[in-house]
Amino acid sequence: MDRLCKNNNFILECKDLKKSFKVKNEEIKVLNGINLSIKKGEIYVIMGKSGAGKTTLISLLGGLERQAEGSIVFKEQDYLSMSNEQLALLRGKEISIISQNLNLIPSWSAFKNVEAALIQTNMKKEERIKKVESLLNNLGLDRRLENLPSELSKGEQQRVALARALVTEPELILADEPTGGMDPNTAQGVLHILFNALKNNGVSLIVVTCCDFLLHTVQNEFKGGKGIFQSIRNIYSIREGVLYYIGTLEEFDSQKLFGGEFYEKYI
Amino acid sequence: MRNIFEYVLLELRRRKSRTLTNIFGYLLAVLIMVVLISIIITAHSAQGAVLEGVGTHFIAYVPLGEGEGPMAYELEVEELCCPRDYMEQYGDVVIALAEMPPDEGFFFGSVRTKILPSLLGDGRTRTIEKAEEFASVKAASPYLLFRLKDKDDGHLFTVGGIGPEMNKIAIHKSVCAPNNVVEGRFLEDTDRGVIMVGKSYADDRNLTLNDEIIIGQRSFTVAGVVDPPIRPAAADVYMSFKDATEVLNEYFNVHLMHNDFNILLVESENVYLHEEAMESVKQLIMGNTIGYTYGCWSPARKGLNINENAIWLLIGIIGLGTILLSSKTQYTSVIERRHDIGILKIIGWTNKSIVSQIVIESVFQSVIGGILGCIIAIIILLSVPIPELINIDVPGGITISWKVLGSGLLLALIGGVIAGIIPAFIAAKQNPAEVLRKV
Repeated sequence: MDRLCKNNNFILECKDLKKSFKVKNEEIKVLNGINLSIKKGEIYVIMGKSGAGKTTLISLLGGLERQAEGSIVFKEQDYLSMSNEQLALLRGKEISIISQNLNLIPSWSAFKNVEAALIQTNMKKEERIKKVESLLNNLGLDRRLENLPSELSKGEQQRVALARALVTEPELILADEPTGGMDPNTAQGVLHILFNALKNNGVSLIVVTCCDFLLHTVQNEFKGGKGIFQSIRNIYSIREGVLYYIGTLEEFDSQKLFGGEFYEKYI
Repeated sequence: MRNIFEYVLLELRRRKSRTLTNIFGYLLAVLIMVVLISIIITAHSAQGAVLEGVGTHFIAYVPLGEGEGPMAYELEVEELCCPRDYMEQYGDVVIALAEMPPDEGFFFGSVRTKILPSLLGDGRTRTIEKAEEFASVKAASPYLLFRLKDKDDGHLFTVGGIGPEMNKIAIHKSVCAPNNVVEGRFLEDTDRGVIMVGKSYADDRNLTLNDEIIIGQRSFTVAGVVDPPIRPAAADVYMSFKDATEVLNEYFNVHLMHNDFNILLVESENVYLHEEAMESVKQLIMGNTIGYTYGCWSPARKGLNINENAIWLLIGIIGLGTILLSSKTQYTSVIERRHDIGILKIIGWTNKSIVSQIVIESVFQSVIGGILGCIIAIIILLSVPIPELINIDVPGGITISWKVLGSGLLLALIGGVIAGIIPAFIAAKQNPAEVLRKV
């Protein structure tokens, strides 16, 4: 039991998380002892270069992969003791994952893509329709309900993916490069929507991203501790499978370390 | 499950041509199966009727070999309820049979036969009841068939003692039936001292109704004249079983028990169980039993089976082919949807939901195909003159059986489950983490 979260403020805690892959009989260590505690309602940003282990970390935290060393405990439930079915239900109700490629089903309408996330909840059809329509309306997609993803702009697709992540009212959202491949304006818009959606409703967010995320959006927006991104209080970097705590956005900004020694060393 | 069904319909609509191909495959398979099986059943009953005309009856007896005892099998003394009396009386039979003149006594045609005791070897079970217990036997009757010499002119004639059985179908098929009466009436169970005579024997001996004739030491009145078609156990004179027993006991000075007999008349349940019935009865009686039946029955049945087996084989191949093709289509569909299935797993769909979706998709197509196949099969069977086309005479037209239609649907349903289950498990094995990495 000592591995379980005892502090009610922490909804997810992983300890000494290690993950390696075997490629042609060679063992490649991707995560090398990650320790991370996620507080309820807080935003965490984990920066890292390509291949640093960001997506693997998200896969493990989302219960998509189970073969790892260490422990991951979500609301007193140890992933290692849960079956694939239990983990799937956890994803369907309490944890949502947003990925860089959005992962919308191309042949389903925006509405169906979002509604699919509610299938495991036993919610009545009328309630489902009402909830999905309301959410998509709030995200400005009220005229796009029956459009296929291919008929939507990149930003609209991102909002559909966001709606799908929010519709189950999760306690934790894991976002893997949510603004990847977007121009700075679109990325900023998407982050605004994401952060606004989470504001005041106690949802925790873990965003893993390459450094461009902050360079192009957050830092420009964050001017003197104002704006929506000031709620980012936990910035980490991941390098060669090891997690480094950097600090709050304010601290990060004040250090002005981009391109400097710190950046070279940890990111 | 209802929620999943919405997504099943969504997927089926999305891949319209593949869905229609699968439905058409099942439609065709069920259609062919229902039509062919209906033809088999119709041909079966039509040909069964023909074969039953040939005969589903047979005669069992045990020939008396040189130096053999007269009983078909020996009873164990200690197992009999009244062993001493019984055996003493059979002792008389043994001696009497040994002393019988060569052309008189128990005969079937020219073969001298043994006595079949009314009780089996355990001394308690009635032979007839035991024979009728076989599923392949519809009815069995004891029959006394013996040959006597007329005391006046010395001519030989055969006497048939008709058993006092409730179900007389075996007698009617192998000996004679009420509709064979040409004069007078048929014998009844309560009749004593009256006989029926065969028409040719009556003509030969100038016998008419109410004539008195002496058989053994008794006088009998002619109550009826019968003219049966060719019957294996036909005799010149027919009397009640009890009268026949008494005539024999007096004539040969023996003490046959009341229901002992020398011929067992059997009616099989149907032509297809005829062989099994013969084998069962032979094993029941034991000894060197001979089952006499018409020779054309066996090749006719074998001929039927050849066609039937070929059709069953064809049905099996079609069914298997449909399932394999459908599996392949379903598998391809799953492979194409690997990414989508991975997405569904990421957003929380359980393996159970994914397996359900794939299997329901498969079953939905197979059941729709099955229903349409059944409907079209009914239309074809009702509108196409199949009996004329395949040259069989079916008075009531072709048979459409609900069981066949139900089986067609069931087969489609099972086919759908089999075709869907493997692709479904392959889909469920999809690792969602791979989808996350794909950019």
